[in-house]
Amino acid sequence: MAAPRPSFAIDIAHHADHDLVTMSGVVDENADLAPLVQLGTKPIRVHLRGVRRINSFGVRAWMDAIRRVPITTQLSFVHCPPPVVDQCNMVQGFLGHGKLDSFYAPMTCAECDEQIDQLFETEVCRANGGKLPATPCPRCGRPMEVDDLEEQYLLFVRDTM
Amino acid sequence: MRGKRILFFDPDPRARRVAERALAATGSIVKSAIDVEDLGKLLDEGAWDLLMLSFDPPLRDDPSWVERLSGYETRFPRTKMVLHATEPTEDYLPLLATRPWLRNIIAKNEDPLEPDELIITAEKLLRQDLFGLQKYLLWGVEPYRVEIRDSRLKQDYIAEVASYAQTLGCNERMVELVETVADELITNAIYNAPRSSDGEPKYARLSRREPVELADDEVGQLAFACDGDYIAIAQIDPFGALTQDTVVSYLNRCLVKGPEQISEASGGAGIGLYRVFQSLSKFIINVDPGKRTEVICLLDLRLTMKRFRQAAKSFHIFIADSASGAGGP
Repeated sequence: MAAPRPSFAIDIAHHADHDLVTMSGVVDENADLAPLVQLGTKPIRVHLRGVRRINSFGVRAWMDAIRRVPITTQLSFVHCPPPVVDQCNMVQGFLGHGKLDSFYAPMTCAECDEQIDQLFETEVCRANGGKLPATPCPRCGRPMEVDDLEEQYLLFVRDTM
Repeated sequence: MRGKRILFFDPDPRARRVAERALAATGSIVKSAIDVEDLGKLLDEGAWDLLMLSFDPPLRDDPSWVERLSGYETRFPRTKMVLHATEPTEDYLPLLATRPWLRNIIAKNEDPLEPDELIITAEKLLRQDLFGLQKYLLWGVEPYRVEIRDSRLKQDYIAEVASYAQTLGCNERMVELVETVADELITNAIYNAPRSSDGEPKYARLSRREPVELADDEVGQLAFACDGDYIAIAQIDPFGALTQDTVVSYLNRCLVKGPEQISEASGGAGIGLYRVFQSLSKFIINVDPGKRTEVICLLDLRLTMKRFRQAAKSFHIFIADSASGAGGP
């Protein structure tokens, strides 16, 4: 039998002006999100680069946890990978009162077939009329395009414009 | 199937050409309608074994046609009906709730129609030979099979399918889709499918954190295979409890963003089926009520994610004739 891929992990680092929560793996019924809820009143920054997937029960558990973060606590999400962006676009209230500051988009080059996940700042996209800024291919320099429906993928940017 | 009568309608001559050739190859007698007037006349000729009709306007929106198709099903309950549509899934799914005769919808994308899907759908309905994911794959493909027995082993089951997808050279995003589909299907087989002797859901109200080990007569199965074009994942359970109403209501609830999206009524979130549907190209449910359910998911490996998102999805619910009384799908 094939070995299961690494499951959920959550790590908390306390900084002077904020708490940094780093999550990775699969958010499902085995994911314990309690450490996020137990934080104090300092701003919380949630780093999600390592999250590979969220299953349906994980969505429910996630939303329960996010709703328990006090509304007065600043909450932001950074380095959100495509599976998280998909949830933001599909499930209303997925981020609670938090805001998504940066995210990855799957970029592809029609010329040389290079595929990368490129990090973007939400604010930059907002300033660009709700669109991704031009991204040159790291291999051939031609402009890359998002391997998704850009309008659909960036729904969360426009929803908060 | 030899001797069966099929009526096909599509105003697009290319689609008619593909369909006439494909359906005639099954040995059936095929007649094509070129426009709605022609279709009306042919329908008036009496009972057909199978209607395969374009569900784009006017048939979709014209109330007189909606009424006519409903009436046809009442008059000729043994006639099967398959519709093909260019509309996005989000447009036709809500219609399934009010039109029970809408059970089989073939997505029509850039190519006029896939002959394979026409033939498979027609033959399944006419022969009442519904089960088996091999029907959707090239001949000779042998599926891998995993028993679904214990919720604590779910990660191992998923790993089997994910590892298979990786072996096929799927990229990370496709592997994630495969894992998503497998995860939700396995959860469905363990928590939602099992019924007690009085037909009530046995574990559906349990939290998905509560471990469940299925008894021998409750064990489900995950089957997966690939023919180069599609990767197919199927979940089979020995209960046959899934109904068209359940599927349609779950899918439609999730289409509308809002507080109703996440269910508090069950032990899960009630969005598993929708997540599966969003991850695939063709969704097929075969039900022999009280005996067996098979949920088949086909993911098109030829498409980029962008094309995948743009493409319409096919949706089929096949219900065994013996159970429906009125003549089946």
